[in-house]
Amino acid sequence: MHLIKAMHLSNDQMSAYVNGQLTAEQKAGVDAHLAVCPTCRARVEAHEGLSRDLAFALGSLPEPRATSVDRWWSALRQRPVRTPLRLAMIAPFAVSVMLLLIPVFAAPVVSVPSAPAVTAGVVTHRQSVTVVSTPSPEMVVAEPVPQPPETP
Amino acid sequence: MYNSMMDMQTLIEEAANGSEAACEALYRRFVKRAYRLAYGVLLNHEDAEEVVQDSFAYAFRTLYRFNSEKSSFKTWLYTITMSRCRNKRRRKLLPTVALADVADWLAGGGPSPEREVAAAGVRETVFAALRQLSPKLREAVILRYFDEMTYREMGAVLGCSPKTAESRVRLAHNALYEILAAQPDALPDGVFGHAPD
Repeated sequence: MHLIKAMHLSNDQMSAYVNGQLTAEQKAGVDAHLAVCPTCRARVEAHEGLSRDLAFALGSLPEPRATSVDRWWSALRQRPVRTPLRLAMIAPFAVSVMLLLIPVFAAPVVSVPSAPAVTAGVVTHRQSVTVVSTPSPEMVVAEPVPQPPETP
Repeated sequence: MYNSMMDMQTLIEEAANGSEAACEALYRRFVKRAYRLAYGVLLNHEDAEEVVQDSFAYAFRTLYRFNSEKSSFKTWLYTITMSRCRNKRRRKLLPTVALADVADWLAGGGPSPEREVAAAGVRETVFAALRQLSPKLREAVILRYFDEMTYREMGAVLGCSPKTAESRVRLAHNALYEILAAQPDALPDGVFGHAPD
């Protein structure tokens, strides 16, 4: 930031200055200008005053009353929400369910090539069948086997 | 069980593991700040109260997501609170400044009636000017001056880069300067640098 003595600081520069947004070099430039420019010095003082007023007004935002704090906490405890406490309570149940389901969904998948289909001494088709190991026969998944072509 | 000096990380871990006592300790440690932030953004007691309760309920539900390596608990909670303030603001027009609330918090008494009158004047004037800012600029200036957050922390809460947070503070400051400078007759003696100690 190069400041010429004849030029005044912009509001943006002043705002950046009082809000600590300038680099050390930029700040030194502004300080040098303020040392020789009473007009800008007065305006910067007004900006700094605004900062103090903001800090004062926002620093004195009202606090909730102690009775309100207690009442809100009681209301929070009553909320029918999924609190960490409830999560902790249901966690063992959820884990048990998952363990029970593991054999069903994570069973090893075995690919068993079928024996070549032979019709009239000619190998007509080689088909792979995917078998899911499960006690239920419904769980056996097999691709449809194309019918071999008619042989004369 | 949980004293004020207890390590935050321990408190958060125990709260995330379902300790109601730890949740309450976290709540009591941060509820005033969360309320003041919500009040500063919304300028309405009932709205701030609702936002605070919703914010803590959400925070406790999702505490397992909190990552202390990414942010402090305060920044995380402020992010949640600010998000709910925005939702609240979208659902309704921002009400006028609740002068009754201003009077309410001044009712505690002060060092002298004159100073209190001056303090009230500064607060009312500043809040009236804040209300004229856009929501984004008001959020930025409140975080900056209410809790002296760094621009990095502000960026995390506001969902923007630190540079954007800087820019919003600068724009807000300029806008407030223009608003207040344009109405010198309306300014109480304290405004522009004479806030009572």
